[in-house]
Amino acid sequence: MRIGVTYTILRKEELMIRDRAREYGEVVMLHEDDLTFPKKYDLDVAIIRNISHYKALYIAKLLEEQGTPTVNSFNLMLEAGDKVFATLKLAKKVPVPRWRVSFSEKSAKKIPEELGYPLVSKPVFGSWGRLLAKINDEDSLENVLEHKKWMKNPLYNIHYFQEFIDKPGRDIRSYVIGGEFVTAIYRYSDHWITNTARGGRAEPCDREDVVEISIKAWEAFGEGALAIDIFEGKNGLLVNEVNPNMEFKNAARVTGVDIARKLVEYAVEVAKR
Amino acid sequence: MPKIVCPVCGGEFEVESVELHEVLECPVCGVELEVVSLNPLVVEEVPEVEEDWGE
Repeated sequence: MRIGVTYTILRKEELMIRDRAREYGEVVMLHEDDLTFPKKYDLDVAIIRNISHYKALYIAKLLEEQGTPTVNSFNLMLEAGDKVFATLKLAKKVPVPRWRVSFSEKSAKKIPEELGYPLVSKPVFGSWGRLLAKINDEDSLENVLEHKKWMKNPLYNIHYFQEFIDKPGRDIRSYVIGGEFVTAIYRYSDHWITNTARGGRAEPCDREDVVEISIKAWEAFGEGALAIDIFEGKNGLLVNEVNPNMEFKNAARVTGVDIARKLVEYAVEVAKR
Repeated sequence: MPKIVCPVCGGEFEVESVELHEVLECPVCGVELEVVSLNPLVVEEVPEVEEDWGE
């Protein structure tokens, strides 16, 4: 079996994936410098690990069109990789924080009437907790909207807001691959943004209700490998967002679970379909 | 062992072996560095401009 791995840089995750994949067949590492399309790449499956969400999306589409299945698939990355599309899917299956989306400054200014303050403004794409803003009052809302107006990317002017969930100094990140719950961690932080990429501390999380909600969140999409961000709200667990191109080195380190192997095993299974 | 000079802090450190595009952490300042060339050995700070998917 020929397993492709498309990538931007060799993070610990890519090195782990490559090592595991070698146990299942021949591994073809495809850096962005090596890829041009249209071109037939002789692969049974490709694991997409490009850092840029949009590069990952296009590479998946181009590979799928030439008959190579990808993990994750173009469709999953499209739906899970956009906060609005993902919320629409998730809300049918699991509790999510109350949310609103609007398309103009004027309509965005009406949102606190419905959601109240504090609000969290999020870009519809991206991660590592970047460009998140906690908005406590009308002045802050005006400031955020003013800043977004002058950003070049038109996607920043799709205004996605969530109610602010007052977390107990931590949130939960879980991993579900091919419908199977893999593991979960708590991410502790004194800051309201808990990403380990922003210095959050990781500890294992072993809870039945986390397993349950994680699998339901995965079922909202029904395929692939997803990292799921969960909040502990006052009335129970809420799924904050999902991530279709997961980093997992901290989760693997603190739980001892071989997430890379699970991902590769799933890719092998996809290749055999 | 290849010696690397961190382009961010100027700190020097040695590595056993490196691969092209591998990410290293500078033990002096903690910044992440990408190996962009093997011969000569060149490292650059990992770009943070792409919309990434993190942990």
